[in-house]
Amino acid sequence: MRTQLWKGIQANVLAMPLISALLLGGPAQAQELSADALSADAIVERANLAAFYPGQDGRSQARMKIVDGQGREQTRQFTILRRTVEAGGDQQMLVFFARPSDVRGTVFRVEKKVVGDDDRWLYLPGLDLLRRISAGDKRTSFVGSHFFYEDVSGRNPADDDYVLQSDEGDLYRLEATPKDPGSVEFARYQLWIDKTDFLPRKVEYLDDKGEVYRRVSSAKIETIDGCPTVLRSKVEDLRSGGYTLMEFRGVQYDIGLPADLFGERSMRTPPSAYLK
Amino acid sequence: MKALFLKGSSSLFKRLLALSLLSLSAFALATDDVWGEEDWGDDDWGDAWSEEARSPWQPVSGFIELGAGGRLQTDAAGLDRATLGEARGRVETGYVSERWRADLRTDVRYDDVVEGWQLDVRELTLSFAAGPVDFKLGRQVLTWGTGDFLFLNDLFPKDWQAFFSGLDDEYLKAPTNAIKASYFGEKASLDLVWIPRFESDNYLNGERFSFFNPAVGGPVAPGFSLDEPSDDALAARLFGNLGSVEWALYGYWGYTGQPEAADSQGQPRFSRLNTYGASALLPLGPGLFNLEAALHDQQSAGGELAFTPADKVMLLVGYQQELIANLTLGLQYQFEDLQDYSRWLAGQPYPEFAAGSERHLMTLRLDQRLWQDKLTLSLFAFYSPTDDDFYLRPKVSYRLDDQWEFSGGFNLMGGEEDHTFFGQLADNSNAWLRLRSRY
Repeated sequence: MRTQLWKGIQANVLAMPLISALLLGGPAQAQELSADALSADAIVERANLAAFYPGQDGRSQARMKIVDGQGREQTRQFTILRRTVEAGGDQQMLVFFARPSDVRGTVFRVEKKVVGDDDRWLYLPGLDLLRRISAGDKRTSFVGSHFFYEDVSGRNPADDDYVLQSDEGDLYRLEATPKDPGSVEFARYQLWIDKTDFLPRKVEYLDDKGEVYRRVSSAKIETIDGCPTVLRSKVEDLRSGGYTLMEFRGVQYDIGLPADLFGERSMRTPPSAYLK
Repeated sequence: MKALFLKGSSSLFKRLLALSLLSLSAFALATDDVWGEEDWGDDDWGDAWSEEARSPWQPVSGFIELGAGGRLQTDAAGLDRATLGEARGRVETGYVSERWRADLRTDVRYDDVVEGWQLDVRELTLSFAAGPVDFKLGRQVLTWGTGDFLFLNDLFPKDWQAFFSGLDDEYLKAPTNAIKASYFGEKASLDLVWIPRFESDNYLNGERFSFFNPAVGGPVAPGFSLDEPSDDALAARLFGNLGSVEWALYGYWGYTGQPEAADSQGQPRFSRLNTYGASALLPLGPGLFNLEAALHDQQSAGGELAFTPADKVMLLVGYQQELIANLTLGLQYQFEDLQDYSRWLAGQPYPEFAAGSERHLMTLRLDQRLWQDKLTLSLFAFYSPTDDDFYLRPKVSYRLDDQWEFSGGFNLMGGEEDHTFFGQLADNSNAWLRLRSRY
């Protein structure tokens, strides 16, 4: 039995993305390089590694506060285990939901692939149902939040063209335009990337009228196990006034997660030793 | 007797509804501020979360739900209009240590249509690992196979009354007492499930839904209940991956989930059933493709049963993909071929109403999520060109916030003839509404 949507909230889970940068974001050791030595592509590559590939593996607890345009709040809480197969390349991920109560025990698994579609699975404990989910649009809501799947899993740098626009003190400002405009809702976006840790501080998405309608920003960054890590971030839907806050805690890197942890066994019986 | 009980209980039901609504609002008050008051400033992680993470006791959570539904037409077999009328409370909790865990998920409900007060323990299990083998002991819901609402190799108990009355999809799967051992290997994994005492489906027995009786030649609502065979059942699944293909082999040695056989007096009985099957699921183009086959082998030899269902071969092909953002399409085609058909038909007491030698069945699923996933529109449709009958399940759910969810929908059955699979259920077509409050 493999139904696409068991109920409303599980619908949310379906749209659910990988998590990482914003979750387990932080660069491998950033190196000091002078601004003029780096091309736009080199900056983006470093930012991709910094945001989405810190450590060989990692663990984090996360929570989100989702506030809609009318001020109504929802929350999500989950634990993420992530393992990098190859830096800048494929990754394995498990997301264990704790709240709200209707998704408690739900487990989401992703094999992120740089080439081709990600593989995704969902385990629904109420039905003892483990099923594969077809690849979906990555620019749709992540568990009902204002974050998109892609915000969390990392948009493939090869999908956009980048131009270095200016050097703003501690930040580089870049502009990105999609190679396939039909596949995304934005016309272009701008990124502000820190020159030292290469973590994006702010990303603004513009529509075809040139207006900013969406903003993702990092509010708190700390270095954990040598990896600068985003511990708090925010995404705003400037059209509706809604926004989502995301926070992380209990972040650890290089804890030695085995490759075979990322499989059916862990989805059916969460590996409590790694979730403490 | 039954009518009296229903009359007496309806005022009780009303009182219960009022009571439940009160407690719903109490829950609303209690849960509103769990997160709302938390400071999202620097020190806000020193709250209940850390306690939750450290304590082996899992939080108590669940919901309260009210559901109502009724027929859209009168029932020729004489059943009342109501098909769903219940208040349900769920409690979930557990204990998790590094070596073992215990899980509880149980519903208490008052069913105003048929059953009255019921305790429905959906999970009460002890799980632990011994090397590469995971054990799960106790009452549990079990599911496998690749079909969407179609079950070729999943012979674990189903609750068809819940399915046809508009309860959450979760309730289609009924719990059973079982011991499950799962070996996880590199090349392949193996699930073995032993059910010490076979438990049947919650099949349509004429209490809530009427069905066609060939002896009468029309719809009946006898409200019967049968003893299940005091025997065990065994199920196995060998599964693994070959590249991006997920494959599985299945076996089941037990009884039919519904009493499809009959004794010499024409009384319905459960018959022994063994099944063998296989499935494969793989990404194909933008979606997922699945293929599943099963042989249902009736073990009728030497029994006191006068009539048993025919052996059958089943084949399922399915495809699902996201058509556009947030709109998912699922298509399935199932083929059933009854074996040794003419001999089986010759042994049937009412051959004019017996199943045809072949049955073709198609399903369509359309799921759309809107308003940042708060609103879900869903349609699941069954259509059989051989039986010329259908079953439509349109549904809307609205998740107001983390606490409240409203849903409503229809179960619309019908067909050209009144003895086919869905055609016989035409008078049970119904509309339903549910209101759920989580805590």
